[in-house]
Amino acid sequence: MKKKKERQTKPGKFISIKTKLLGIILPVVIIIVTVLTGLSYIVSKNVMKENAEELLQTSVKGQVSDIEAWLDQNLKSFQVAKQALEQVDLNEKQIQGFLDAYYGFDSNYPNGLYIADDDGAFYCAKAAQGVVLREPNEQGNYINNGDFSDAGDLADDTGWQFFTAEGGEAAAEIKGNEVSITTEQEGSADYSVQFVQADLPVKKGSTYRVSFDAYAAADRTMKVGISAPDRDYKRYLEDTVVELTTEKKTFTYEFTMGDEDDANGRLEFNLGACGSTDAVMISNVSVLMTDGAEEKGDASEDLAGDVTQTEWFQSGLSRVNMGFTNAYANEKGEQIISACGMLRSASGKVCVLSADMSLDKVSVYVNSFVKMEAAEAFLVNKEDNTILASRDTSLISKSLDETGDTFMKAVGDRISKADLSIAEIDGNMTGFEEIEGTDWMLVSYVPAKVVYQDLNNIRNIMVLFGVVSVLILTGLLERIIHIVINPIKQLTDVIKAMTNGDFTVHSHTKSNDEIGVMSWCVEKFIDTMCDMIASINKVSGVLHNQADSSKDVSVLMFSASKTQNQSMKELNETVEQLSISVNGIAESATTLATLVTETRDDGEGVSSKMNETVDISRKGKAAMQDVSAAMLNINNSVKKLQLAIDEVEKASEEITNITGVIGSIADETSLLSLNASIEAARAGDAGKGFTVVATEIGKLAQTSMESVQHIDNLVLEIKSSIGDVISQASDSVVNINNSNALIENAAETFDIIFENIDMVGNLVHQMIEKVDQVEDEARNVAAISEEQAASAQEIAASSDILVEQANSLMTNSETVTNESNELTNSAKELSAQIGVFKIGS
Amino acid sequence: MKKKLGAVFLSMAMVVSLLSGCQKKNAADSDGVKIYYAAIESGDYYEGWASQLQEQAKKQGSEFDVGYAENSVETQDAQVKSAVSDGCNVFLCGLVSADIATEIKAAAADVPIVFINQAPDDGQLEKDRYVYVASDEYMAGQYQAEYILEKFGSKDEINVAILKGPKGASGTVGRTNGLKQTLKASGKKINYVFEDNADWSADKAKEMMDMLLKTGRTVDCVAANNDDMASGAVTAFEEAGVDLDSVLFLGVDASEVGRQSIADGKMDFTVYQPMSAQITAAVLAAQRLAEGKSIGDIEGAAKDGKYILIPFEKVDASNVAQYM
Repeated sequence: MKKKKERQTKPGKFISIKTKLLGIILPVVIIIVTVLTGLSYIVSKNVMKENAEELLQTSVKGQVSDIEAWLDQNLKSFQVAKQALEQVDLNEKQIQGFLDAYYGFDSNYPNGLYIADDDGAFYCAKAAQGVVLREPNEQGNYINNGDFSDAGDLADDTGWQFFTAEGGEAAAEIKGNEVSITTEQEGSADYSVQFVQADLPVKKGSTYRVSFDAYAAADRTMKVGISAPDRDYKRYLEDTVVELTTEKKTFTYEFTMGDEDDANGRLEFNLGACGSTDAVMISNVSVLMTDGAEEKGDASEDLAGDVTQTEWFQSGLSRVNMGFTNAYANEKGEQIISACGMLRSASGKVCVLSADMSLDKVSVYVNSFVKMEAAEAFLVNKEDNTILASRDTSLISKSLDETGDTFMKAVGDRISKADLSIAEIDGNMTGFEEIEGTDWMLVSYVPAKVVYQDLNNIRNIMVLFGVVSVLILTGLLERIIHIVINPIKQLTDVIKAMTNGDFTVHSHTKSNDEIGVMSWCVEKFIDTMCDMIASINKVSGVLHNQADSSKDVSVLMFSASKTQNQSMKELNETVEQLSISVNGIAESATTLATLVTETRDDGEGVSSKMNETVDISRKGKAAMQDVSAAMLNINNSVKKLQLAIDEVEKASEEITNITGVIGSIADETSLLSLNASIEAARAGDAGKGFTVVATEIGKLAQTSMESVQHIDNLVLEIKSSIGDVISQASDSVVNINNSNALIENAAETFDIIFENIDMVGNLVHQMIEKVDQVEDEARNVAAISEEQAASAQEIAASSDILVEQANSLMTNSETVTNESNELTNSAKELSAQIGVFKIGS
Repeated sequence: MKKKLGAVFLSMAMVVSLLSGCQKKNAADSDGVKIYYAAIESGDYYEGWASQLQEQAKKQGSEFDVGYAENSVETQDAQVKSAVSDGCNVFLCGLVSADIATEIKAAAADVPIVFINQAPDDGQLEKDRYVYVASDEYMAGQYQAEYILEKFGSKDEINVAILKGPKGASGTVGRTNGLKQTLKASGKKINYVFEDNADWSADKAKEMMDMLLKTGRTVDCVAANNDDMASGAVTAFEEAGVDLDSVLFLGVDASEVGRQSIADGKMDFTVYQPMSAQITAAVLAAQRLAEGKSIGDIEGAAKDGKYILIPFEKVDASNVAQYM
């Protein structure tokens, strides 16, 4: 399997589609949201700024029209009064009455109207002429008759007064520089029994000491205080409980007047409703000023002084219709503006009618008309930049430049330049509006941050909105992408699993889009792959089996060829041995032939000896007659010879056997050689048989050898037996010589022997014949053996070739084994590789 | 696809041609510009305006009609409405009151308005739709102040008496502001020894000056918002036996009275309000608005496109003859 080189073997760094999509979409979304938010913010800012400016402008205009209306209303009422004054020529008293009527008529100008002429005459409401505080006596005591020197004081409305009320019944009497108060009924309120002095002047800011001596008939209490009957009985000195004893004591109290000057203070001793009716004695009453308030000069003097030099009079001279002065401080130090104008008088005198309006009041109007939240306003005279009204009263009648405030100064510059467009000055959005009919200008301002506070809120909301929408969009996108991508993800997992060879996975996607198609295709692919892998698997299994069996076969073949080889080697060796054996046999056969020849020769020698023996025996027969005596011996000897001959007979028999055996061997050998030649002609399997045959041949050859040796031995024995016979014959000769009698016997015996020998001679002849036959056979055997050897050598050569072939066969079968091993390995590998693919059951 | 696009373009072109056709038709219907002058009241002054406006309109080939509201808000409202239904396509309007601008605008529906004679609130104006043609009141006051400063160049302290028109009138406010601000800018100490509303009236002015003279205050000049009041002041000073040469008398309008007074050596200065220039500008502006064009190129047009302010001309003894 070759891998395509151009194909990437590994994917790059993994970045999911989701990350990529989010990575692309999110910044875009964030940028869009940011831009939208920013744009909205800028648009909102402009709109809000415009709105705020419009609102401020409207507010200022509204304020101005309110102030104008207020001023107009007041001016109109002044104008009405002025016209009334102008149309009716009033005398001085009537004028006074007119002016008094305006006193307290309107809270905007509580002091009413006043008139002055250029002669300095000044008319105003009586009540407006101010609080006149009377002076104390020489001792500084504000109490009249404090020492009770005037005993008749209680009779009138001045000085000391005594009252009972709310069920109180009591009496007071001044006597001996003290007042004694006796109570019948204490009443239900502290003022049920009351001893007072009114018309006590109390000046604002001054500290007073109240002091008196007092005692009672028995221990009891009373209350002392200073009240204001004109001011709803407000207490200047709070009611204080005085613990009275029978012993005269001095009591001292201090208070500071916090209210406006009051000429009608009231010192009160309240004896009612305090749980006792015992008489009380009071003396030495004094109210002293211990710390006087700063004197402001005599107001009435001022008024009377140079009324023509007052602001209002001077200003009044510059117009006929009522109009307003600048802000100025009146004789009391109060910031006021006056409405004033020249009065058309019949007298021809230059008169100015005027009314004072408190600037505080104007300020209240100026500020109360502010229609914008956190906005403030102040009224400025645009001619000299004097502040006429402001929430901060300390600024009133100061020039804008004098305030030391950069904002005020900047406003002043603007007014001087007559640049009255709405503008942001020193962090304040500022609007200007002139008040018609006056030189006044209302400056209304609102701190820009207040204006932009809503903007900040909007910005915060927008940022919040932006963040929330980005978050929501992020979430939404994430979800959508997740939902859209999820099949892909699953598909990816499936493909990943597939990449790892797992085809058991399934890609189930119900979506009906490209991903659905993809998923379907993958599913199809998986199926196809599964089938394919299954079939490959099957094939590989088969292959594996085949490889296995081929391996087995080749192993078997190998071992068989090895065995064959071995066998061939062994055969070869056997053949060699056979060859050697055959050669040996051939040699043996040759030797045998030689021996046989020798044996024949010997046999011939024996035969000749036999002949000689017969000759001798014939001669002996003749001699036997000569030897009668010795015949007995000869008899014995002949007996013995008889035995030996017996043995020879036996041996001959055996030889006969042997020759028979040899004959059969020869037969068999010829048969075997025939067989061997046939076997040799065959290749392969015949080897075994050959070996057996060869062995048989060997055995036969040995047997032949043994037989031959036997023959040899037998021949030797025969020889020795013959020797014995000869010696015995010698003995017999001697014995015959010695005994004639015996010779006779012997002659007879001899004859038998002779016959026997003749027989033996015949036998030998026969044996020689047989030996000749053996010799022939041996020669034949040798020839055959030689042929055999040649054949054996041929066999050996053939078997060498066979061995070589067997070797190559073995080598080949080894190669086959190896290759079949390889095949097995390959099949295994294939199997393993196929095994990687999971295709389920 | 191409066919479709073609169809779209064709239909678009048809719509455009249809629209433009309609517009042309409308314009053709009215036979050009049809002006309606809603005047404050009848009487020489406004009838004079009307005749001059008509003449100018004729010159420009526009139709012209006029209605006198006789100081009635209701009448003016009704006249404007009926003019709209008569097919008028631009108004020249002297508001009965500055406060009814919104109402008149509503009555005029979509027809543009050139305000004259009476200034509406700045907020009521709209670029190239609701414009105001007037003389530059501020400039009148400014010219007065410049004259005063010129005459009293050597003085550090000037005592000025001001006679103003009715409270709140645009002429009063503009001229007084122009005067005061210019004087203030001079850095000299200006004492306003008298300042009151004589309501354009010579008699009221005379009475006020009488009273002023009684106070014995020093007066260097009397600056009045119009010539009548200035002449009233002259009378008062004359009667009081004050040397008229020692005091400057300044008016506005270069009215017959004023011019005569200057010629007689009594009044010293006035400013000429070139009515014809106003009329020309007003009719021109009306035509432009009726045609849906901008007034930007008309002389005296403010940058904001809401105003056309016609400059005054200075008139004193040296040139008064030219205006006689």
